[in-house]
Amino acid sequence: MKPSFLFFFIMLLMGLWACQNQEETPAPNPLEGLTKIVSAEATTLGLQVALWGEASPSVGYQELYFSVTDDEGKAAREVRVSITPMMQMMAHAHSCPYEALASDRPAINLFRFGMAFMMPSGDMGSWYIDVEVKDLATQASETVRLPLEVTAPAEARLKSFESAIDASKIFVSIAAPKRPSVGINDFEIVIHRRNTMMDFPAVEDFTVEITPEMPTMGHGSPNNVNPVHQQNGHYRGKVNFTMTGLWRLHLVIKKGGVVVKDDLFFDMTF
Amino acid sequence: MKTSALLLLLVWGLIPKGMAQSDPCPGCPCPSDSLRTLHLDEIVVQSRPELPSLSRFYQTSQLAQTEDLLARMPACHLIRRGSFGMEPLIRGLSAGQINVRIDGMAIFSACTDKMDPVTVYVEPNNLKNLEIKTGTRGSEWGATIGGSVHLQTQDPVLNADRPWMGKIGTGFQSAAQSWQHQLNFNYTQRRLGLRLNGVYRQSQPYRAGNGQTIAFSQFNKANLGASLKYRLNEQSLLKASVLLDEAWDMGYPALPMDVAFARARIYGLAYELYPAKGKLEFLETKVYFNQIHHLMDDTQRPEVQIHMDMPGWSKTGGAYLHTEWALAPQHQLKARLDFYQNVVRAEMTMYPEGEAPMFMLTWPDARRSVGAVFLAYQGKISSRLLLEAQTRLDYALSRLTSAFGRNQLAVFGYAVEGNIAHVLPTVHLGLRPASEKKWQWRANLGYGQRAPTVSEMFGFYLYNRLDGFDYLGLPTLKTEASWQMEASLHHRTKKGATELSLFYHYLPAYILADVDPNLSAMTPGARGVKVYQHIPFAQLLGAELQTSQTFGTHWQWVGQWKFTLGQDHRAQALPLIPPLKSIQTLRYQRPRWSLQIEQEAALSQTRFREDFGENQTPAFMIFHLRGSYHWQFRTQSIELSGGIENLTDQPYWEHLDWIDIPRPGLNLYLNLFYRF
Ligand SMILES: [Cu+2]
Ligand SMILES: [Cu+2]
Repeated sequence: MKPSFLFFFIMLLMGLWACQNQEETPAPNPLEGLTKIVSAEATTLGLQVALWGEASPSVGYQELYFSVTDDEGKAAREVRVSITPMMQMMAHAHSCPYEALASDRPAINLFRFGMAFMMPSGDMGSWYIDVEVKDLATQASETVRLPLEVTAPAEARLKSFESAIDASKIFVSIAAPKRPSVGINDFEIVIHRRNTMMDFPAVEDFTVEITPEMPTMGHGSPNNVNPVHQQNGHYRGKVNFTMTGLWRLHLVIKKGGVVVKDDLFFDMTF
Repeated sequence: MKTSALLLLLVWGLIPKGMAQSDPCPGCPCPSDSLRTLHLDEIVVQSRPELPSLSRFYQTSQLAQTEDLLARMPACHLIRRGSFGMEPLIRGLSAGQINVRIDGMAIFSACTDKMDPVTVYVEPNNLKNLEIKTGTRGSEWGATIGGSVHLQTQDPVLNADRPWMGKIGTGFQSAAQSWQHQLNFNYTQRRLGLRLNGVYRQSQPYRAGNGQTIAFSQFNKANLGASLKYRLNEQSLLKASVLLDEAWDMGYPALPMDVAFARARIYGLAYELYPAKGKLEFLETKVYFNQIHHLMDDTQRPEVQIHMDMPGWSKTGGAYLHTEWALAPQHQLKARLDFYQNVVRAEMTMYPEGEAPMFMLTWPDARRSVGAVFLAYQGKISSRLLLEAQTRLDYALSRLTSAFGRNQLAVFGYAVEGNIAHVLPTVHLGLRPASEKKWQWRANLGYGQRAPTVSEMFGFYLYNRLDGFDYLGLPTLKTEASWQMEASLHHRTKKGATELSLFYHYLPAYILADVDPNLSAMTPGARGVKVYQHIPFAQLLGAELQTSQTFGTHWQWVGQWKFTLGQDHRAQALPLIPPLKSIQTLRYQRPRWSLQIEQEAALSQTRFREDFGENQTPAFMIFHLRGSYHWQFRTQSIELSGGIENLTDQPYWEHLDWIDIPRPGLNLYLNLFYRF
């Protein structure tokens, strides 16, 4: 073997090590990551109404999508959609906190809503969503009913309590992180108040302090950012996790410096 | 050989071509310039080249650990966390401040707790040369401020009188009820040499001087080395080597965890050229790869709140080109190009009962790529002065290769995207008289920088048992520098030699961890969190004295004293600085047998750092008695050696022994070798 050959070999090796990894970006698809939960036909309008979600509906806050299409799955006509989620129980029925959200996907007739189911479907009652579809050209409208199964997640994503100030019923749900991970996580909670069984307005004037803790080890994490109200009862901050495992997020909720609730917590295991 | 020539050789730290005295097969037809081989079992220790006889002395027994040899090197101490895997410290500097290389190859440990210094991979019977260079003199092996430890493994012997040579041995030590078996074989042809080397050790928990048995001090280890040398022609040869090391059930009494297993694989392929004429005297190029897998766990430990596993991986690949030039009769140049890349990852998984496991990366997928140029000139710059000038420039790029690792550190506000670059210049200048006289002096000046280690930059909640803190890295750490001076005086007579060295280091931007009261510890029971940072400066001052004297034809005395003082910018002591230590040996030597008594002693260390978990270490004095006898039958021989270590069964520990765990008490040992 000649030295020059060895040189070549070394250079080759150096070149190999210098190579960098490259990441790929997937092509966009309006229904990417969504699965169909339930669908029904608006017979007079001749349209299909379907409910989509990233996961099957569960107790807590989540975003759900309603698509309105013709039989071939195309967005034939321009429509408007309004919804009423309802839980039918033995003696009474009630709704839950919900809100219309601006669409975040590149598709016509795909409508995004935020909803905070407060109980699971079961012996106590069952959930359905009444969807009113209005054809903007003909002004004709029709309501279809989408029954759905709401399950309870392994770890609560929604908790309710009575305000220490005025005993009103408050619902706090976790909107983010959906999938907690080690590092800095966007943290978002949504707070609602029960006005009537059908009316759950957003609470916009609370202050929230968060303290993550690993109860098994008794340590926390640094540099968390307390959630601050943005709009419609959404509070955003940052929560930091230094390792995987069981984390407990302690929340202290105040209004004008007066404690509303000081022993609220959510567990997150990942 | 002329003394000036000897001096040249010693400075190079290698035995260059044409040194017939090192030829193991005098009279054999192979050209001596293709032989850079020493006797199979000879260990040349070149930290103090002027005292070459030192090596024989500290080669106490063929079965002693390489660590036992390191501990007896001038300027060297060991940080002890268990009965195996002690970490070398040169003049108060260790870990990333020094470089440890095996046959010129970069290799980095896989343990976040420093259980596996890479010195453990070369067993004494596979060690040809243990070279310690202090301070910036060690920069041949990497950017450094503290020095280098270079372990050269035994070469296969080429073209010897007998095709087969070898040695088999076994030994027993009473303090740890330990057995050690070893063998080595050499097979040779005209062009080919093959060497096989194996060691197996098994050791129980040892008994300390106070009669107490130190729990979790057992270890099991097997080490296998194979190397092949093939002579291509009169001027060049190829060398391939494989080193496999397997350790299991290793206890670390000073740490909260033990090692379930540790596995190292070290491969190298080299081409060597010895041109017959021209200015180029020697060229070596090598490609290498090594990987270490280390698994720590605490499953054997009682009363653990939450059991955990901490595996670690370290992979290094590299290549170098090394050349030596004779510019003119008294002017020599050594030039070296170095490239390597090291990737480390360490995980921690805790298993709480009835809950999800908890996981983090304690070394978050860190990668470091280093390219370097090294130049050393050595020559007579006047009729009376000899100059030794070295310079090295390293360019090191560090990055985190996984999003998981980056996300962890983002929690602390560090955005570690892309590469972090460190430029590391090292300069070393040495002057000495060109001719050797009875009295001789030497002066060295150096400046060096070193990059922060993976732990110092990216370490994530690394628990330190000594001070009880979790350590966090700081990705924005800069380099650590050192300005250093060394002066030595050497006295030589026909009966012996004595050398005194004085050194001083001024270390700006010294890296030392400090408590961050805002952070909460992760490890259950930890006292808090320390984050690595720079202190304005630190200083190190010290001296070493060695002497080797013969009395009559049979008596020889070898003595050494080593002392280091270290302090930070607030004049507080630096942690992990040993007190004055003395090792004295008196030997009576006959042709067939020898007898020697050794004394090891250290003063009490009263300068210690409480905030780094240190306390005052008491002074100690222990004695060892050793003897050997050998029978020769033509080309075969049998050697019996034995002795008593810690004769007075003292309960003692050294200052660098973590958490004051006493060392072995009275230890009887016996070794038997058969050589053919
Ligand atoms: Cu934890
Ligand atoms: Cu370890």
